[in-house]
Amino acid sequence: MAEDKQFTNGEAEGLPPAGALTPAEALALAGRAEAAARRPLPLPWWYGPGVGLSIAAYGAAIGQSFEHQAQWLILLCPLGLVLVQAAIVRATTHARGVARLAERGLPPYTMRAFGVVVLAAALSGLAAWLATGDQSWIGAAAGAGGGLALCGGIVLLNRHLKEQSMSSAQ
Amino acid sequence: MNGLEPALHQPTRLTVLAFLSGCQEAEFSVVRDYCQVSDSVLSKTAASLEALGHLRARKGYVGKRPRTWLSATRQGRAALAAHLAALQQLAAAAEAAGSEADGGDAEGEREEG
Repeated sequence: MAEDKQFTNGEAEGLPPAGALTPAEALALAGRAEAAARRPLPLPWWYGPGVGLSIAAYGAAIGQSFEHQAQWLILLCPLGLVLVQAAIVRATTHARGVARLAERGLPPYTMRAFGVVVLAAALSGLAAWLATGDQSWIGAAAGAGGGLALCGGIVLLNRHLKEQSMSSAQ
Repeated sequence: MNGLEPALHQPTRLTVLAFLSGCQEAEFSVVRDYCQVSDSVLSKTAASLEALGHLRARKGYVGKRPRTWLSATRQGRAALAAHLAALQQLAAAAEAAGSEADGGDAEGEREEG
């Protein structure tokens, strides 16, 4: 909590008084502030496991749906996944204190990471199919494989974000 | 000068609006910590920017804790962009005038020599 200090003319501590800024200084001040808001922030530690677990649960639910031929559940599962993901993203935004602007286009390596997650899910599902041939196990294994790969990817991304955040703070 | 927003001449207001224009919205405490101001100073600054229609304050809860989220309105973003563009013009004009004066001084010195 910041100390409640007295400031002359309502000015901020560390900032020059009103009228003392040259255009160049004002531009620099605004540029620094905008850059600080855009600075990448690390994700909370639970983000990766949370997303991974939700994917694993989705896979298990889809597997059970196919096993028991519950058509309604097959349609309901993606909706549940979207709602859980939205809640996780919302909680992450609240935890970080800054909601970033939506960027145009996909962040770098997104398609490659997506490919790795799909491959991990497919290989896990294939392994479960070869081992058991049970639809519920195939779904659960694919979900667990995909969720684990996604969790790992997010942990790596978070490490990169932490490094970036530390270097831009210096 | 066209585009200059008098309210943004104050450094705190300029910093708050510039910070908020760099994100969708930010929590009150994050903006306060970045600007290094007290709660009351940020509160007054936010209220004045809100009165001008440049900022929106949203009250919410995280668990049971009350939180205030600040965001720049479209009008605020446009005003900041226009203000910064006008400042850039001023800075460029000042730089050009400075280099002209330097050139004039050098010529004068040469003539004297």
